[in-house]
Amino acid sequence: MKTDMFINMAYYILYIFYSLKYNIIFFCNNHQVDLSKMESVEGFRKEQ
Amino acid sequence: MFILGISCYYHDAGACILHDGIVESAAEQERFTRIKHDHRFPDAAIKFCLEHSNISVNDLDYVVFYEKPGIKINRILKTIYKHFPRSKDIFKEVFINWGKQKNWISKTIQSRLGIPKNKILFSEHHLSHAASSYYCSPYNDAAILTVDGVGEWVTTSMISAKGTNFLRHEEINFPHSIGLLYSTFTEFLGFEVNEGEFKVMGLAPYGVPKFKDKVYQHFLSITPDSFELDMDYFAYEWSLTTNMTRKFIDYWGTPRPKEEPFIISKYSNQLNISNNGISQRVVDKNQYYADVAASVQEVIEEVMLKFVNTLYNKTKTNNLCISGGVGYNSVANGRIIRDSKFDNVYILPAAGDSGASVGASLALYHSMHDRPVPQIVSSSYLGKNFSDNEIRQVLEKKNITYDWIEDEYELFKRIAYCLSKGKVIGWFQGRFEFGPRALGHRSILADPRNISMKHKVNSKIKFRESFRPFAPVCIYDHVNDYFEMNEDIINLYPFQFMLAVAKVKPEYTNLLQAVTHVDNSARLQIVKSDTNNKLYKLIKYFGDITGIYCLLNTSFNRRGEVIVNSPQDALITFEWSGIDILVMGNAIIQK
Repeated sequence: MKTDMFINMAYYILYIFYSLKYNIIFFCNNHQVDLSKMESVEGFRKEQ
Repeated sequence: MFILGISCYYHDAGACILHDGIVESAAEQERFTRIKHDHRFPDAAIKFCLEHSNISVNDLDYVVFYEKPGIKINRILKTIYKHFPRSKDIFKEVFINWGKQKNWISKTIQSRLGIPKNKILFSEHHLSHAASSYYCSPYNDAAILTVDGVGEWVTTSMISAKGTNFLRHEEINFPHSIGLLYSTFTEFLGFEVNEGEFKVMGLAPYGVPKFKDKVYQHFLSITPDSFELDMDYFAYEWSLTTNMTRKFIDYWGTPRPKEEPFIISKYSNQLNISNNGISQRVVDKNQYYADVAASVQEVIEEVMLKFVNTLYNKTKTNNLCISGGVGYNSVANGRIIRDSKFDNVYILPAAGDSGASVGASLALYHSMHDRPVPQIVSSSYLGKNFSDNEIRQVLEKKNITYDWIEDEYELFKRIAYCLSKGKVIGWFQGRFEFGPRALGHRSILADPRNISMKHKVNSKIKFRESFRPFAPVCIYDHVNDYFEMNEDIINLYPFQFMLAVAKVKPEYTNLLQAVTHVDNSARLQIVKSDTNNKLYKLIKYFGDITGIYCLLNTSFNRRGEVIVNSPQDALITFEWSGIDILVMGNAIIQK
């Protein structure tokens, strides 16, 4: 029970961390890379 | 302008250097560390690439990573959430691995290479795949099909390219993945995922695709430009240990035990296996597994063909580029070449993730520069070379007796004669190959005429499963003599990279026994004098002696080992295997 609680907590910590790090709202469908943006170096700068 | 491309942290880490848009060198990390499919940060491969171009890290204009980690972690976390709590093992793995390294790719590159952050860039996984194939091809416009297990989210994409502009027509996202479907059956058939897919392809011709309809009915719903898997059968979204759910096993039965010998009574002679003492039940079960392999292989071919034809209808170009791990499926590639509407097909020899390092750097370069003349990567010899002096030094340091034959004519004549007498040759020449295929620079060569050569190479050198076929390498001038190929396809690059199968002509199946598979197909490599002159000449001399202008060619390694890189590696494999003669440069070493 305690282990599950710990994992749940850790999950949400990680979720918040990645949301901030990559500036992603994880549960939106924002995963498609627009290839036209990759036609300049700027498109390659982002990690997301 | 120098660009370093890097791929790592999944499988097959690799690196490449692009100099003014030209691929100068490319190598997989595993060749240097001797760890198969080494996925770690490719420092050794990077060091080689920098040394080859005679530059330091300070000379690099950019370093580009082959995918976008922010999107990948999005997919992983979203998938964990969807399946929580049964996905908690994946979560633990992500917590540890991403926390340790994958999350800090920019920082890792900065610290390992000592390069400022503003020079570090990120491509997109399937863009990297697409660019690796298209920008290395001879075409200025092409349709591109990328198919693999999974990148960030995308598992399959259909793209058209013209000049330096890419347009994505369709994409299929995780968890619906042709690559992972094939990997799941690979696991079911008792082979390692990400390693044994070639074996499923080799097993398929022993079976009949009698379960093909079942795969379509229960596992896969398909339209001309998309598909969906029934995820009740697949566990890879939430399990680290298996791709198969209980429902999958209930449907297909017990998975084939790993490492169990493959015995089918019909082919026991070809397989050189006695089925004495093996119960009929085991033989029948093996036939069942072969039928499953045949069925899933047939499905993959049909799906690929369907997508390719859809892509043709959308793009109306005659040129097709294929990339991603599924691009190694040489049987599907052969079928696409024969049956699709495209006239021209190109696949980079490193179609998988290591090749994506090349694609990432090419995509970046062409985001800044036009492409007036296509660069053609016409050979896979992009790895490390060892000079005559280096080879001699190694031999002398180890006190090994060798003949150094300066006259190439003498060298090739002597080796061709040995081959004709049934000797197995370790062949080490020039720069090693980029990609999983040994294409005549780090190869084991043998006489293709006698089935006993296949058994000899298998039992004394490669120690691999007897059902797996060996490949022929044939000189360009004689391909039409032995293989059913018309003039339209004989010049296509997949046949030079051993990435497509061809049919052996019926009158030659007996004469090419050691390299003809049970369905009379062969994973052919065509060699031309301008891409590999030494091998071309050797085969020519062998043909002059025997009348057959082909050799058996397999990679210079033993089972489970990485293909040799250095003379030291070659000597170790030579010593511990049944290879009769080793040829390194102009040195001949006999046992």
